This record gives sequence, structure tokens and C-alpha cells, in this order.
Amino acid sequence: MRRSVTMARGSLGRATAACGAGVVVVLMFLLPGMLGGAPAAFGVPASAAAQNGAQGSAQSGAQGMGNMQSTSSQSGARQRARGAGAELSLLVARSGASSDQLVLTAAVSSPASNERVSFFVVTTELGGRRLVPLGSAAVTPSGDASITYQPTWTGTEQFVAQIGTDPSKPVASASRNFLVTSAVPGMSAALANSPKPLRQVGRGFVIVVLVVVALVWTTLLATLYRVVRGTRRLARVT
Amino acid sequence: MKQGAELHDVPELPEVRAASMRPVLRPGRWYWPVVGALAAVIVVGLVAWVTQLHEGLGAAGYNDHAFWAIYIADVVTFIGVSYGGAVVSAILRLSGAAWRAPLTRIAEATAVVTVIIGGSFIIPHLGRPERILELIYRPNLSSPIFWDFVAVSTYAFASMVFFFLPLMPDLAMARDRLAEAGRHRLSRLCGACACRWQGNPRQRRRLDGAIGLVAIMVIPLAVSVHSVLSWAFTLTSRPWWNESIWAPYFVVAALYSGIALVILVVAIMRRVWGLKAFITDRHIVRLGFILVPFGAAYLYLTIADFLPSSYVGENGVTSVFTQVLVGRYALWFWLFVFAGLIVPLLVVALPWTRRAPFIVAAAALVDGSLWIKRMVMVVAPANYGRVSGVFGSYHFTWISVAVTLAGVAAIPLLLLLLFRIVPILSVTEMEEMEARAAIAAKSAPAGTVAAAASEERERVLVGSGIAGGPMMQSAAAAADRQHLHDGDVRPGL
Repeated sequence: MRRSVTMARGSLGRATAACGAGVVVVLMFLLPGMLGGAPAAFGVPASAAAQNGAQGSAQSGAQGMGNMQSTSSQSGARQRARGAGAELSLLVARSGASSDQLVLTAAVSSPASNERVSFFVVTTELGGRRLVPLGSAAVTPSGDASITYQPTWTGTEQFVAQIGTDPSKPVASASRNFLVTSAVPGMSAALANSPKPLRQVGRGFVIVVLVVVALVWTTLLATLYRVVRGTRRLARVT
Repeated sequence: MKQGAELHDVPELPEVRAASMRPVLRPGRWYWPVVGALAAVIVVGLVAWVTQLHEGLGAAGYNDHAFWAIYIADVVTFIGVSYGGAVVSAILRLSGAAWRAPLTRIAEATAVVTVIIGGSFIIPHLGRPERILELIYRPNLSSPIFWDFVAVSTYAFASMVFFFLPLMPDLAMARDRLAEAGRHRLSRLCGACACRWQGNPRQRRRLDGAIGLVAIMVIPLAVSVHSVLSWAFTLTSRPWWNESIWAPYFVVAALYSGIALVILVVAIMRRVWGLKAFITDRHIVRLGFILVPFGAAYLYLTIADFLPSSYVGENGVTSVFTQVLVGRYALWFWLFVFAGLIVPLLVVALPWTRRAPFIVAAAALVDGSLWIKRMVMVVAPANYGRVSGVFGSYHFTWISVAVTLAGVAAIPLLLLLLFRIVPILSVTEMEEMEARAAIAAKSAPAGTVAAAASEERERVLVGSGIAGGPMMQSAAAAADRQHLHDGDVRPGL
């Protein structure tokens, strides 16, 4: 009786261990797909992400692209589009304050209170055609909304302005092609060129760390050599 | 007897020698089919990687949002688990815990194998893998990636030395056994690596000193490597990555998952090669005790990581934490907390679940859960768009899953192949421990705990005729069970 109980307990334990490992493997690789909406999704679906992104501010776009330089080959022009309840037009022009920057201005025919216009640039990099959010701005009583943008790549860029929280179903939309002839890609120059604290100390620190690494390697190699050579030498002749 | 004192006459333990050479001489009928199956998984992974090279990283689910994803989680996981083997072995050596002897070889081999696999996982993460050589001939000293390369390669070399040095005496034993079995080529290889080891006191003294030195070096190296690995994240200006707590967070996670992997590997190895007479349930339970403080520390660090940033509420971190705690990643995060922290801690803490099978299951949960946690830590901040506040998404593909599974399969495969060449038990160490225990018992006054323990061990060994057969196994296992039932399980000797 006692033996059978012990065996049962052992079997139960082994079964539990096997099940635990199996469950972990299944959870790791299968459930993300079932719960993510798309096959094996580990993240936020595009629709939810875009909805979240509509809350971004014009300031974030302007700061993020901070000191990028660009020039355009043509002055602004308007393109109009009719939406469900409002008429929207988009103007792209050089900034008056800095000729390197672009000002994206959307004009709304019948502005409503608390209405915001979102601005995008169209890209086909790393996948299909999609909108990259640049920022959003509130519509003024006069019906205008604008942000400042500095492109990070050259060529003809297509800008889009939209009203509505869901980019896939905008209330109103307008787009505009614009040829950018020069740009400085990469991160914000304000961040890249900002003086790093402890820069001088850092140079010395790198040398110290390299010396420590060299000492570790030397010690390991010397220990190995000493043991191998010593063991051979200390072997008695039989 | 003082640890490290000279031993002039170390008796051989034939049953230990026979068991340690079993995988080398008679691996079993299951061996080659299992090796073949694991190799097939790796081949599928290689095919997937070649496909990825042809189609680009987008085939692995990478995109302009998820620029770091599954392969980085794999790198952190595999390199992390390697620390458990090395550090557990090093700490137990330095603290003189005699019960470590049957475990050290497996733990050190696991460390070597996993660090090699983990280091290799950076290659599929690269879109242009041939440029990895530029780390050597065009290093960028201000890049965390360069220091990752330096730290991982240094630790990998140290763990190989730490594996090789205690192996030397056993290779001498293997040389003789292999020659008797007629496997002369492998015997010559073992002989060359054994460096004419005879086990005389001067050789022992020199080897013990070297092992002690490398054991001391391995611990800070292991800490530094995972710290540097964390700095690849924390030196990036992204919400949740740019945190000062991440270095100790990574180190504790590495030790926690590493000890869990040692438990898993030890449990599997003792099962498939019949080592239960030497690696008993008590060893598993003791490893479980080591698991607990690291699990508790990781739980504490998790709270310490989330609380301050959540309280301050800066935009980026708040967005990421919202997604992690109550958003799209919440299921995975709380699954990790429950299965990777709470359940394992309870399993070891509660007396009625403090048994080897449950602890092995808990160890499996720990390793699986920590991989999920690392996926969340990598993917959630990477997906966050700093300019727009938009979250992207990452999708698993068959390519990324196949490459990851190939890495998982590579651990048992490399261990199976390694133990076809070298003894699986640290024979010399076990014999030395036996000799020291015998000397200590003889010198202990009658009626003391040491004397009683010695008498019991003597009874078990004599009862089995020191033959290493089923009799000894059942006797040792029975004694072990009795200890467990009596609650005589303590995290030390």
C-alpha cells in the first residue's frame, strides 16, 4: 500500500513537471497569436496604436525633429479635399523664422470647438504604404491648424492632414506632395551635440576598463598555462 | 578537516567512476534518436535563418517600431541562464559546500553551453551579420555593443577555463577507462588534455589554487557581463530602458533563471543516465533553496522598478507602463509575476510542495516566465514611438520561432555531445570529498552529529557492497527520502 502511494506520488510529480514545462512552451509560442488579434502578435494592433497616436501633440513633432535642416524647391500650395462634415485644405511652405523648416498648415472650412488636425508623412519604408504621424494641432477660431516640421530625408514627400481620431476613417483629409532637396538624417542635433557630462573622465575610464579586461584575460591565460605546464612538470616518472 | 588540506591517499569510488563514464561508454539506445531529433530542430532553425538572410529582418517580424525583439530577448535569456551554472558552482566551491560535488560538472557544462548559444544569438539579430567582424577591427569604444562583445567573450573564456580545470583529473581517469574499452582515439585526446595528471599532492595543490582563483574571478565577471548587457538598454534614451536599476535587475534575473536551468538540467541528466544514487532529491531541494532568495530579490526589484516611475508619471514611461500593467502586454506580465515569481516561491516555501518534482516544475516555470518577461521588456519600449506616442506591434513569424527553438534545442544537444566525451560527474572531487568526510568522521568524538552521519553513510555503502548497483541506489534513495520526510533538509551542510 505504502509502495503504491509512493509510486503514485512520484508519477504525479513527474506528470506535474512535464505538464509545467509543456504549458510554458505552449504559452510562449501559441497564445500570443490567439490573443493578439493577428497571427502570433506580440504587441499593439495597428488600429489601437493609431488611435493612441492621435493624441500626440504638435510640440512632440517639432521637438523630435528639432534642428534638422532642409530646403524645399517650391513654395507652398493648397490642395483641397471634401470630408464627411468639413472641408480641409493643406498648405506646405517654408517657415518664416527658419528657411530650413517647413510649416504645414491646414485650413478647415467650418471649424468646430476642440477640433484637432493631425499631420502625417507617407512612407513606404520597411513595409507597405502607411502614414507616419508628425504631430497634431488644435484648430484656431479662424479655422487654421499648423505645425513646424523639418524633414529627415530628401525627395518628394507626401504630407497628409486629417481631422478625426481614427486615421483609417478620417472625417476630412487633404494631402500635398512637396520636393525636399536636402535633409540631415538621424537623431536630433540638439541631443547629439549636447555636451555630455563627465566626457573627459569617460576617456580615462575607457582606458582603465580596457586595462582591467586585459588583466583578466592575462590572469586566465597565465593560470591555464601554469596549471597545464605545472601538472606536466610535477608528474612523477613511473 | 580544513578545506583545502592535502590529501595523500584518496580512495577510488568504483561506482562513481562507472556512473560518470556511462554516457561516454554506454549512452543508451535512446541517445542517437534524441540527438537526431534535436539536430533536426537546429537544422530547421538554420534554414529559417538563411531564409531571413534572403528576405530581410522583416521576415522575423522586425519593423520600424519593433527594431529590437525576439532575438535580443533570446540573447539576454541564454546568456543569463549561463550565469547560474558558473556562479552556483563558484559560490559552492568557495564556501566549501561538500554536497556540490555531484552537481558541479553539469552546472559548469551548462554555463559553457548556454553562453556560447546566447552569444551566437546576436548573429540572427543582425541584418548584415558579416559586419560583426567590425567589432574587432573597427571597434567603437563608445558603443555599448562593443563592451557587450568584450564582456561576453571574456566571461565565455573564463567559464571554459572554469569548466576545464576541474575536468583535468577526470580526463586522466577517462583516458584509462577508454583505453580499456578499446576507444583509443578518444583515450589519446583525453590523455592529451589531462596533461599527465597523476593526482599527487603537488599537482593537487597547484590545481586547487588555480580553481579557487578562477572561481573568485567568475563571480564578478558574471555580475559585470549582465550589467554590461543591461547597459545596452539603459544607455538608450527610451522610456523604461533608461533606468538605473536595470543592471542589478538583470544580474538577479540571470542568477534566478540560471539556477532554475541548473535544476532542470540536473533533474533531466540524473533521470536519463541513472544518477539518482549520487544526485539525490536532496540536491534538487537544496538548489530550490538557492532559488528562493533570488526569486524574492527579483520580485522586490520588479516592484522597485515600477513604483518610482509610475508615481512620477512622465509621458513615455507612463504610456509603456500602462501597456505593460493593464494594456496589451498585461496578460504576459502578470503571467510572469504569477508563474515566474509567486508559484516558484510558494513551491519551495510550503513543506508539502518542497519536493523534487515540484521544484523541477517550478524551475521550468521560472525559465519560461522570464523569457516572457524579457520579451515584454524588449518589445514594449521598442514599440513606443517617442515622437508620436504611437505603439507599434511585433508579430512572431515561423522564422523567429524556429530560430529560437533551435537555440533551445541546442542546449540539450550540446550537453549530450559534451558528455559523450567527458565524464558527467566530477569524480575526483567526489572522491576527495569522501576522503575528507571519512577523515573528519574518524577524528570526531563518538556520539557527535558528524560521527552519526558517518556511521549512516558507512552503513549504506557497506550494505551495498560499494558496488554501485541498484542496491546502493535504493539504499541511498531510501535514506534520502527518510531525511526529506523527517524535514532534515537544510540549505547547507
